[in-house]
This record gives sequence, C-alpha cells and structure tokens, in this order.
Amino acid sequence: MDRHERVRLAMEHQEPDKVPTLSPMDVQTYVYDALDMPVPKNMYRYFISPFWGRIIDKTAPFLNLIGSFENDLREFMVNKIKADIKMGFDSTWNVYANIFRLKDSKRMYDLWGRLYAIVDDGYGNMATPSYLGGLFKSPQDWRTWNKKEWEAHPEKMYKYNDFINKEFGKDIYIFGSHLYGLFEQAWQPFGFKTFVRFLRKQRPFLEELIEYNKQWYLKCVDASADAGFPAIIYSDDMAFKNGPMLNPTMMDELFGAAFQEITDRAHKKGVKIVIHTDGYTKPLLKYFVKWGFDGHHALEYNANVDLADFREEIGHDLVFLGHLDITHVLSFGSREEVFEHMREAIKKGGQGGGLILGPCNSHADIRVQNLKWMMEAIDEYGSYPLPMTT
Amino acid sequence: MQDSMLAVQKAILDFDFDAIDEAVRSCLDRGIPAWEIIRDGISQAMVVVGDKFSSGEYFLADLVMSGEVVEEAMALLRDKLGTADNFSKGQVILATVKGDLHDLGKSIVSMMLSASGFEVIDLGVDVSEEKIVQAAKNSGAKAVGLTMLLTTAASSVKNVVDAFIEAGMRDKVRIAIGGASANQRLADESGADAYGEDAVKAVALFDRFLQEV
Repeated sequence: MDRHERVRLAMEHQEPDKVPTLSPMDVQTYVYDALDMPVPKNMYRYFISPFWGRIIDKTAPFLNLIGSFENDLREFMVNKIKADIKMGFDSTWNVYANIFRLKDSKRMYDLWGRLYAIVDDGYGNMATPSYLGGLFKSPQDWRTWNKKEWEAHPEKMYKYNDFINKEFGKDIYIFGSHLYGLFEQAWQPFGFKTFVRFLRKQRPFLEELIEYNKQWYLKCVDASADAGFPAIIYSDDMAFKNGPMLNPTMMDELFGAAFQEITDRAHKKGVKIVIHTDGYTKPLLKYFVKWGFDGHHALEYNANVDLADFREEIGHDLVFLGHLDITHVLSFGSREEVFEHMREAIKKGGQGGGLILGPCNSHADIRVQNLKWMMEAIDEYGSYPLPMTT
Repeated sequence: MQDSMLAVQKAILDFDFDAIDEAVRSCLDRGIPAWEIIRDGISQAMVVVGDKFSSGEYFLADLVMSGEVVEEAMALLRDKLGTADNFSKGQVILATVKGDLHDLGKSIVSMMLSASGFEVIDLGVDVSEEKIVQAAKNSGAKAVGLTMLLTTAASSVKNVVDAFIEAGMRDKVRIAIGGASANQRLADESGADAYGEDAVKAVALFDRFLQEV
C-alpha cells in the first residue's frame, strides 16, 4: 500500500495496512540530521553577529523588501519535505510561512501584527521566532495597519503550494497549512489581556475582526485545495495544558459559524480539514465535530491526553493525528521507551483506523534515531487488523 | 458582610469592569480601609474564581478577565495603602527561565498570587540563574516560581537549582516549576521542590512553601 492510500484510508476511518505517520512541522535539527547535512546558517549568522547585527538594525526595511528571509524559509520547507520522504513518513505538514519580517537584528514582526524575538534552538541554529506580544493596542491600530502584504498572501501561498505539490505530491501525502487560525488572529496581535477586555467591551469589533480574517482564510483554503493538496491542517491553538483558553460555549458563539464556513469550503473543494491545537482539548472535541473538522491534531501527550479516553468521548467522528511525546520519548527516550509509547498509543487509539501518529509538536531535541524507532515500532505493533490486546 | 464588600466580590465574579470602580469607591466612602477591601473583598472573590477554575466552570480567559477587573480595583487602592498595612503573606519570586520569552502563564500566576495576598517579585522573561539567586538574596524571598513554555528551556530549571546550591541557599528557598513544558518528571530530575499544574494550584503551593520555610 502506498503512502497516499494509507493516509487516505485512515482519514476515512478505514483500516490501512498499518498505522500511518505524520511529520513534525518545523524542526531544523531533525531535517538536516535526516538529510546528513549541516544546518545552514543563512541569515541567522548575521543576526547573531554584533557587526552585521548593527547593519541589519539599520537596513531591516530594505532586507524585507528584497525578501532575504523568505528565501531561507523556502529552502527549509523544501528540505523538510525531502527529509520527511527520506525518513519514510507517510504524510508531511507543509506550512507556507512567509509571514515574518525583520524589525531589527533581534526581533521580527509578522504580517498580522505580532512581535517575535529571534531565538536560538539550543544548538546554535535559529528556532521558530518566539512570540513576544501584539503590536496593536486598539481596534484603530488594527484598522489602520497596512494590510497590503497580508491580502497578497493567499496568491503567493498558492504559487508556493503549487510548486510543492508538483515537486513532491506524488511522493508523500501533503497537508497544507497556514499561519494563523481565527482565534490566534483575534488575540495574539493584541495580547491576551487586551483580548479578554474586548470580550467584555468590544464585541462588535471582535466580530468585525473574525469576519475579515475568515474571508482571508477562505482564500488560504483555496490556495491549498486548488494547488492539489488532499488535506489541510487548520492551525489554531485554543487550549493550553489544562484545558481550553476560552469557554467552549463562548468560542462556539464567537467563532463557530466562521469555522463552519472554512470547513465547508474545504469539503466543497474535496479536501479534508484537520484542526491543530495544542493542549488538553477534551471539552472541545464535540465542537470540532460540530464545526465540521474531519480530524484533530496535536493531542499532546504532555497535556495528559489519553487517546482511549478521547476516543470514548468522540468515537470515530474525528481522526486523531500526532500525539507522540516530544518532551522526552522522541527526544531523549530509549528504544524501549519509544516502543512502549508506540504500543500504548496504537492500542488506545488505533482500533478501526482513524489514527495517524507523529510528533505532537516541534522540538529541537527530537532525534532522528528516535523517529526511526517510532517507524520500527509501527511495523511491530501497528499492522491492521490490530490484535485486541496489542 | 457589608453590601459594598459583596459588591466588590460580585463585580470580580461578573467580570464587570464598570461595577468594580463603583463598588471600590463605595467601600472607601464608607471608611473601609484599603487593606480590608483587598483581604475581604478581592482576595475572597479570587478564592471563588480559583474554585470555579478548578471545577471547570471557568476557563483561562475567565481567570485573566477576573485579574483585569482586580487590576482596576487595585489602581484605586494602591495609593490608599499605608506603610503599616502589611497584609502580605510573603514574597514570591517569579521568572520565565533563561531561553524562554513567554510571559502569559507567568503573568496569570502573578495575578493570582497578588490577588491572594502574596507580594510578587516578577523578574520577567529569559532570566538567568544568577539574576534569580541575586533577587532572592536581595529580597529575602523564600519561594521561587519558574515557568517555561519551551521544552528547550527545561535545562534552565536545573541551572537555577544548582545556582542556589552553589550560593549555599538551597535550604532557604522552595522552588516550584510550571508551564506547558513542565511536569513532575522535570521537577524530580532538576531538583525543584514541586510542580504546579496551573495558576490556581500555584496559590496553594506557595501557601504551603511559605509555611514550610
């Protein structure tokens, strides 16, 4: 059975030949270790150089204009898919991440008004920029923000996705993905404290914001579907380790209709759509189904997600994706720990299909060796039909 | 309890930014001292907020919203507190560890601790172990809370614990960890005293710490 068929059947809650796999989103150390290449320093070597840093501080707008960092991102994402294919992943999480712009040598901002720090991944490489806060303090700040690049984004995304699908679409099942979802777009450009005040005092503005972002996101759905990707990961962190950030009823009231339009658009285009959110999401599962999502990704092991418990809660109304522990098992765990973790995950979530396993998130410590053990453990425990007591 | 004090509590539990102002002013007009409004109004309401969060009735946004309402109240009360109004339970140092810049979790813990009567020394984000130890030396604080979202920052916890050992202060402070990438395993492996699952549990944890030390 090929990779596409394996993932497709799992997405239909059917049993493929074995449990399929999904790659992590963005881990440089994993990608280049898998490809036996050094991590390219690219722009990062200039960010961390005191001399070049001073020059970047003065020339950031020009560097943004010539798309210097965009080239680094593109190179990384192409290499990531190559690594995923080489490692034997059945599916890859492909993000069009050309959203970051240099503020200076230490910070970036994104097209939607977030501020980030440029940070090291602990191995001398640039990590995913670390969110510092929002650039907006008021609805007026958002309304007057220059959205020219923002609105041009879906078209650029389509061109990139089209290239990726033509280059790799035959070799691996590709989940298209976009940054960011409607909830994150509603709070992160303002900061969480300002957002909760908006909940009480600026509800019409929040509705205006959500409507605008929904219209934009629908174009991003088109940019994946029209490029030929079979599925989309809708990435929108709405939970933390202990539960949802916002009361699910309020989330449904504010965002539910917009989510439904997004999933409807995907389905009309013939693609599946999976919601990614970190955290403990059990109280949200029934809403994910209501909003029309086909699956749920992350299911963080470190947030106490128990696949059997979640399956009992929602049955086969959602495909489960991700789940594997990155804080220890896939980073520092022994072969025995990886095998035991995989055996447990397959036993708890694998019956009847609808399970696609992979690292639940990105982490610079994820080791290629542990991912190889992960694949071996699937061969050991994950062949369908699964025994009732794997 | 007086109606005006109940109104303070109600405003916090209703997340009512407009009513809190009126309720606090009403208390002050009746001659109720600021420290009493904090102790019997705000802190009591935050106990209820904590209970509702623990039981699943309130969510993270509700915790933050109640904190923002408390902030409105405190803006009216701070300059009314006299130097003799020492109602603090004790000092707690909070920091997001070195290598991590995330602030949200720490600021929620800070808000819950402040509203529960602790004096919080917030050192900010990406804080080195040297700075944390120095802050403990300078302040005499006996409790330290370390937060982290990034798994890559986990090793910083052990560095903080080791720095306290090196400074000969390990038996004088209690160290708790929390945040998305924290867990009991990390607490055990790094030599921290406890792992707190959320901001509400952090209050109970630091209550216990300050009784122990």
